Amino acid sequence: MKCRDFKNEFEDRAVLSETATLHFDSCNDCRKFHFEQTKLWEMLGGLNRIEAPKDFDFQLKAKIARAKPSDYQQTGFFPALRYILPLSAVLVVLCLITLSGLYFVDNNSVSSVAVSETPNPVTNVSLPVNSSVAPNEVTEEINPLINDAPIFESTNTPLKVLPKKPEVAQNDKEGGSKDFSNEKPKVISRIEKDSGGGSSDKAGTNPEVLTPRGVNPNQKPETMVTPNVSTTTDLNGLLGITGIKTESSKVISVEKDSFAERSGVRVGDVIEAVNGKEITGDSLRSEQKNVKTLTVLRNGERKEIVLQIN
Amino acid sequence: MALDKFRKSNAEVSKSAVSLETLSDHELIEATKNGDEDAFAEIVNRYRNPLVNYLYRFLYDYEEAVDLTQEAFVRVYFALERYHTDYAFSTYIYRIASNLAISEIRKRKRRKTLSLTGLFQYDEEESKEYQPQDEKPLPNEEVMEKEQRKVIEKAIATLPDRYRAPIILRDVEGKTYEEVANILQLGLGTTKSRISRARKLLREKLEHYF
Repeated sequence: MKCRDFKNEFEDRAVLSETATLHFDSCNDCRKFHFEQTKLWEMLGGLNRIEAPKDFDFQLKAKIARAKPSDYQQTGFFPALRYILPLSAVLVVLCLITLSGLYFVDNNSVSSVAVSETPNPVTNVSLPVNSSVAPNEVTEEINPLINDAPIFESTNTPLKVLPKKPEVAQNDKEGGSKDFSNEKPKVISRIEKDSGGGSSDKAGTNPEVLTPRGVNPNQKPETMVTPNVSTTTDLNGLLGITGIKTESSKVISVEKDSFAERSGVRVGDVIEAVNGKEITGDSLRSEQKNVKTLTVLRNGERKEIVLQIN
Repeated sequence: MALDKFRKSNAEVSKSAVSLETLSDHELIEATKNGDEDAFAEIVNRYRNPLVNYLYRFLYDYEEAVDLTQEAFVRVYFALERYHTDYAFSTYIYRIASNLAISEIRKRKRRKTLSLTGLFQYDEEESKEYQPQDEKPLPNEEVMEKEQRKVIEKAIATLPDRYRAPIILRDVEGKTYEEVANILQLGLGTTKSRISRARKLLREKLEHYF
């Protein structure tokens, strides 16, 4: 018998078999092991038994009375769902936010052109690509109302102007002399390709440049407004408002002793409407001649200012 | 549930209570499920002291041991409907107590609290730190035994967690290897191996007493 077998046998049963006894007699190491292990058991067995306190039952009763059964009972078929479901919801929301972010980044990089008030307005013109039209050729089916309007053409992408809308046609019948001075800036919807509507500037290529006919493509049209860029329109000599943020229509400076100042326009006012019509800072210029009242937002309060023009 | 009956005076012990003592654990559980409140009191009475002793040896903290024993009974009480008689009830309640103790030890480690146990955490290099080195003659046998018990308790408390529970259940509580394996949800071989390793560590720690 090997020492290892002897130790295992002794530890398992604490009783020596005949073979183990023979080995025990002949092996000093195993005798030492036998002595030490027996002593250890004696010591462990001699430990005092620890007992519960006398008020154990009272405490237990109080604990059971305080405990909520729901805390100790499984809910549903899988308790971990309590944690998995909220986590999943958070993950879905995060994914949606990420995807929507990517979507808008993609759209901005295509060709979203914002057109502000123009002398020859092009309203709600969608320019989808028509594969039946040859490249560099613009279709002739153009709304008569916008004959003089700049026609957007692409250097290499066939374009097509969508059919006119009914209200535009009505204007046409009435003479086509619609006053666009009060129109807000319009946004030409993004250009789509027949080939699937993907963005044209994927893989880092530049977006196609759309320019009105007869206009130098390298020259930026005056009426083009770059979205989300804060610019200042100088209205000096008109109402006395010498500076206004076009993005927010916020007055940033007022000429001293001007109509505006005399009428009570103050720096910081946000012009919301002119003559009762909602307006943006950019289109204020077109309203300059007939301004009678300004609706401004000052310190959160809306005020009507009647201009004192002599 | 009227738990007032957990601890009764001798006068209050009725014939029914006497008969409860003769019932097996499973019969008591069934009786408790059927609304016999005395049956649960009898279960508490049977396992109260063994569990406190086991958890005290495991955690080396009396208050914590009592608290976790009560928690184990609360869990048993609220989970009676889910209890199956596949294992012995003692295995079931010891398993609950073991899991609670292991969770408590993990919490302590996370909190890094300095408990009595923490003072004597097992460390190979410092494992012999507490061993008596004073060779002066001890005053008398009683004091010596008391001191020896303290040293053994500390020696157990300094064992690694994975060795501590098996050796307490086997050599202190007197469970069989199979019971220990079931309580700790380990294989029989693993259980024997851990117990053997724990004994070896204890022998090394207590060699001055041999």
